[in-house]
Amino acid sequence: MDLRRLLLRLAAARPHVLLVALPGATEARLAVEAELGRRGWPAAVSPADADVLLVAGPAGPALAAVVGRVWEQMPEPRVRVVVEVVADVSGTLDSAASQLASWTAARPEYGGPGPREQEHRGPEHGGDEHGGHGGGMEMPGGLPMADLGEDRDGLMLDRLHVALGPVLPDWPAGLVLRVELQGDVIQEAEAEVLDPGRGGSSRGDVPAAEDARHAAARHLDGLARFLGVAGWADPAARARRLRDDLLAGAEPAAVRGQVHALTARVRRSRTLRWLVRGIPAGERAVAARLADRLAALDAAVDGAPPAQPGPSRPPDLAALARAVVGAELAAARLVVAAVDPDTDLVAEERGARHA
Amino acid sequence: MPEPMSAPAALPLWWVVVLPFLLVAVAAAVVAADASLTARARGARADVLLPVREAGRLLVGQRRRTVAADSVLWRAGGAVLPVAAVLAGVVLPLGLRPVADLSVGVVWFNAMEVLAWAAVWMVGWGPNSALGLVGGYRFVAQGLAYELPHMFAIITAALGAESLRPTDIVAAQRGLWFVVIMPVAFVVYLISATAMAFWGPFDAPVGRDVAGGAAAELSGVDRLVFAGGRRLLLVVAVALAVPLFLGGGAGPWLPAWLWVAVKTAVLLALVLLVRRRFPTIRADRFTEVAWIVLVPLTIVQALVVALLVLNRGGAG
Repeated sequence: MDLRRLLLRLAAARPHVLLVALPGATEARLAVEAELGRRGWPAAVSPADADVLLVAGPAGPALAAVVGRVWEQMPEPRVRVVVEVVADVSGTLDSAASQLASWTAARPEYGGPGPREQEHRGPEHGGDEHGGHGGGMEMPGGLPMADLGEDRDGLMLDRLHVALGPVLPDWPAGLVLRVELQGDVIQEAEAEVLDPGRGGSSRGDVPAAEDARHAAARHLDGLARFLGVAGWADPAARARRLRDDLLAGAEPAAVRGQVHALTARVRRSRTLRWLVRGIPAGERAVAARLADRLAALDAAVDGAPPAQPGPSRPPDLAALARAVVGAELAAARLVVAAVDPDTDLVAEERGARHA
Repeated sequence: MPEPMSAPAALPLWWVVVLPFLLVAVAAAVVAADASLTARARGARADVLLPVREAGRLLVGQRRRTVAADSVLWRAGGAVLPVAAVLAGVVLPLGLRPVADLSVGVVWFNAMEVLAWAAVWMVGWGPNSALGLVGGYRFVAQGLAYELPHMFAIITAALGAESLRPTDIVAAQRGLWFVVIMPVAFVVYLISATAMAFWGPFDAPVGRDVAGGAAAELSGVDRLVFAGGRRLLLVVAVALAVPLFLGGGAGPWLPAWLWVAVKTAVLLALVLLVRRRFPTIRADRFTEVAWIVLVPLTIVQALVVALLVLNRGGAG
């Protein structure tokens, strides 16, 4: 039908891209995010919202399985692409858009016998895992029932087994947080990085002795993701834009004024202070970690020598899991974003559980 | 109260057909304006066709199903939002006259917008998804926070006019706009209208941190209906502030309908800008403020207005 073709063409000019970042492929993720920002293509927040599934980096076996499940959950028309080499980003996105625009021609069965039933299973963007009980009983959809357990007020309530990540907006690459939820309070947590240590170098192109530009870009990236989780899209977008400028070759001194304006704006926000107040996140609270990040960012663009030039250590996943127990889901997301574990540095298979 | 005017109080019947299109057009303008602000922050080009692209994309998109979903509640929940928004819109004076001039228009409006509680919760519950459910419950918690201050704010305007009929409320502001004698109610109304449409900074129910929350599993036309309904609700809820507090179509030189349009546009622009100024306010923190600060404030505001009304010899 002509109308359908017209709508597909109109929509293909601005597809929603679900970016799956892999540990060790930060460089590819940053290149993709920069290109999406230039084009004004929105990042999808869930598989249901996505037209393009973009996998940044080479997926190991565990993440390949996750990507496959995410793909099954995406509504048609849909396109799946992989970016491994940074130079390919623009061409890959162009070809994805043209595949979407000519969807009817490429797939004549679309629009024929009605939409296929989409099954959604698995934990990849936080769907229920419903682990635990269920016994031999026949349950709706073959899913087991939730557990029961005492909540923090001593009431017997359902406990849902939910896996947060690895495909969540503003979430560390490859991280999975298996949590037991009562309402939206986390009762138990277990952290794991899927397919760790495949990227080789830490943080993609960032060398061990990090220069001011990369330090500033890294802090801007972390700040953008924190603000994204906190639901403050406007300064998050500005932070991303400055990050992209730096990585495209801008001198830190050239963006200093804008960075200072951004950090001042974030610091000034009484609302943000009120929202992040009193959320513990391991050794430092969320608010303190945010303040550290802002100070480090200011220092990086001011040309100060990096505060901690020592070798970066892999993140402490056990401590992260401990830090989210007892938190509400929203607070737990803030904790993870504030800690911002660098999953590129996780070397081998490791997990951590805390009850 | 004297009869407000001799002319027919309601618009001709064919406006019933025009109203949804009018509201959709305004909602599309809101989407375009908001997206162009977003594009500017990110350094990308603004796109005038954006609402058309997005709607078209969702129209040709496949509808998803999930395992063991409660399909009836899920689909119905999404459809309730736009229907409730348009039904609430019938009492909006578009100029001097609304589509339906109900004697209990304010109550009707409130009853329609409260349907959002059920709608968002149903959409969150329906797909059998943990993040969707969290989103749905977040909205219920948010509703507990905003609804009481919201109702006190509306009641204060009705009290000032001694009528629940929106056209009477407009007529009662001929001398002085209600925003002057009840500024607190006006501000609280705008805050709660934003929260009702779960628009930023009250967008936790569809938050990015829970991958879209109540809307996480929606695709295709279901997402269009839900997202469009949310924008319609925002437009209608904000637009009612004009007859309640800003004198409706009153103003020099311009015709009444144009004044209504201008005032509504200014309020919508304000709402769009406020969203950029604040991070998402979580229901747990908002409830504290709503009950400890906003509820007492609006009660005192209603009391002050009640005394003013008694003083001028009303409600006798």
